[in-house]
Amino acid sequence: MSQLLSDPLPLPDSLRFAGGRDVHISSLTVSYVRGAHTVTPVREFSLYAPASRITALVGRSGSGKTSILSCVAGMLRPASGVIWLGGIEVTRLSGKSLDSYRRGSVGVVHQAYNLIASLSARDNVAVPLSLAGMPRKQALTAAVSQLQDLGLADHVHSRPAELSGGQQQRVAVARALSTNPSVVLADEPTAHLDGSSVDDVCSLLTAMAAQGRTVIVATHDDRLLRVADQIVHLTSG
Amino acid sequence: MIKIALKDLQWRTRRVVIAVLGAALVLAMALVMSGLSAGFDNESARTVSLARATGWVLDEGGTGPFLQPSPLTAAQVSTIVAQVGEAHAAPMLFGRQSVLDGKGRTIGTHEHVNLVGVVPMHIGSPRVVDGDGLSGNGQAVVDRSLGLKIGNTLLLGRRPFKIVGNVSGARLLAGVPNVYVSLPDAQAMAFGGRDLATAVVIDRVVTAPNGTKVLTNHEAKIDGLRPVVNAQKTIAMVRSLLWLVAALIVGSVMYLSALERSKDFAVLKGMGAKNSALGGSLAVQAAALGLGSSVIGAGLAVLIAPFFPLEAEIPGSAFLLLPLVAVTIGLISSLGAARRMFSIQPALAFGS
Repeated sequence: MSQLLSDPLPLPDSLRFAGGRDVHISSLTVSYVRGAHTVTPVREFSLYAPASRITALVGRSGSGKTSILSCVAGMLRPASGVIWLGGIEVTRLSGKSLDSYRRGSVGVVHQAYNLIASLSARDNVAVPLSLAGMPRKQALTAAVSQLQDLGLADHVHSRPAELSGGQQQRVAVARALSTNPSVVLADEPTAHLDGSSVDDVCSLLTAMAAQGRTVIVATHDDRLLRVADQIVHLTSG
Repeated sequence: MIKIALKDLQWRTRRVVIAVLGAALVLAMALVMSGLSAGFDNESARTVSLARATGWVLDEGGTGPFLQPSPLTAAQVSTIVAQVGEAHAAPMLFGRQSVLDGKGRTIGTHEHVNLVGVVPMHIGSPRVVDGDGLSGNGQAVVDRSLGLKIGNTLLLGRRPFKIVGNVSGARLLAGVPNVYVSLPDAQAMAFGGRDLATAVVIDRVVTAPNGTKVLTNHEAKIDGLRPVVNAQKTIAMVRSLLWLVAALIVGSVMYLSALERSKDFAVLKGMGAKNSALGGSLAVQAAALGLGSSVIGAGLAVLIAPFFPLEAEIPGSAFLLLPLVAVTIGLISSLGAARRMFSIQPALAFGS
């Protein structure tokens, strides 16, 4: 499977963060206000997720898996704690540097795929590349190449609604990998998939890690745990 | 990002078409309203223009040549004509008269006409577009909107007149056609034959003789508009409401789309898309909706305007301004959607 995930066109250096690919999380606390209450789904959480490994975050709903992924993705600011990706302190990023981090360093595979319904598979995969400043024609070529690598050569022009769940998940993976990120975060990537598609996802995750990426997966699904190098059990708060 | 915005519009084709058609119909109505209002202005301006005068001398107590005129006596008229010069002044009479065709039948919806008494072949007598101008008593020059042909007879207050010529666009008081007859004929009908006039039209600048005043063409036009001033104000209000409805249609579609695209916006922000770029994409969508609505609205306005009982004279400038106004309305109405988009956190992309 690893040959299916060959690197896409290289990104400009300005879009890439220097340093290693290991993720360090130290004393992370996430809290937010819901109605009259303050909810703290993550309290003093620490983790070391090495590059080339798959780290699985396991726990019931509300245990904070998604909050942790959101913080590592730079999409949620924690109440306290520090997150490092290689030499970059993610929790200190803001403005352009945060935008740049989101564009170039992290790829996210969402639970519900979150593909843009109006765009073809090719256009969906090309979005992160265009946002990263790649010329449109080049971005589309790279997207097609990425989709071909993932076995979707016949579905390049299909819209998400025309694809099966497994195929949509592959498009989502292609999009997450399009900018060749250091870290891949997968949020319940098998939630809507049947058995054979789960096997595909396991293979894809393994291939991503084999390419030197840090892979962090939040899951309920025990079938994913067989490919995890590290399993972290979370309890609420 | 613009490509995504346009693809999204394409994706929501049915809704976009409904919104564009709805907004287009409303914009068409707004255009027709503008046309009706402009029609009132134009008919008064044309009636004034047909007199080929530069000024209107009235009795000091009169408000204007067309409405509630205090008639000038024959002596006053003679004084004015003598002062201005016979070639540059002529008395005129303006009133209202019932009308029937030569067989005593009502002419369409027209029960009354504006009766304009003029001195034939003199200043004040209108230039015709068909047939001949007035040359004597018993003749009439009528506006085309009356629908009578040259050679036909019409009855004004039971007096028969032979139609010798047509004028175009000569109407007043919200579409009532003008009928021009000789001054003596008009005096016979309006003043029982007394030698009175409601104004003296002049084409030379003079100081108003004692007991009279001089109005400019513009002031005369304003006089012709007095009965429809409130109608014009009402039309302006309705037009403003129509703009608002168009804005609400575009705005609601934009807002609903923004609600539905919350996850898309979160995902795009998660990929590093800037608020400004996403806001720009919404602006492009709103502008496209506004532009589409204005183009279709302009076409619809041309199609539906002839069905209105009053002539809607939509100014060319309104057609040119419409896309600009519609795009501006679209952009303003998309602010709600933009506000919604700005509030979306990228973390929303996570979860089911």
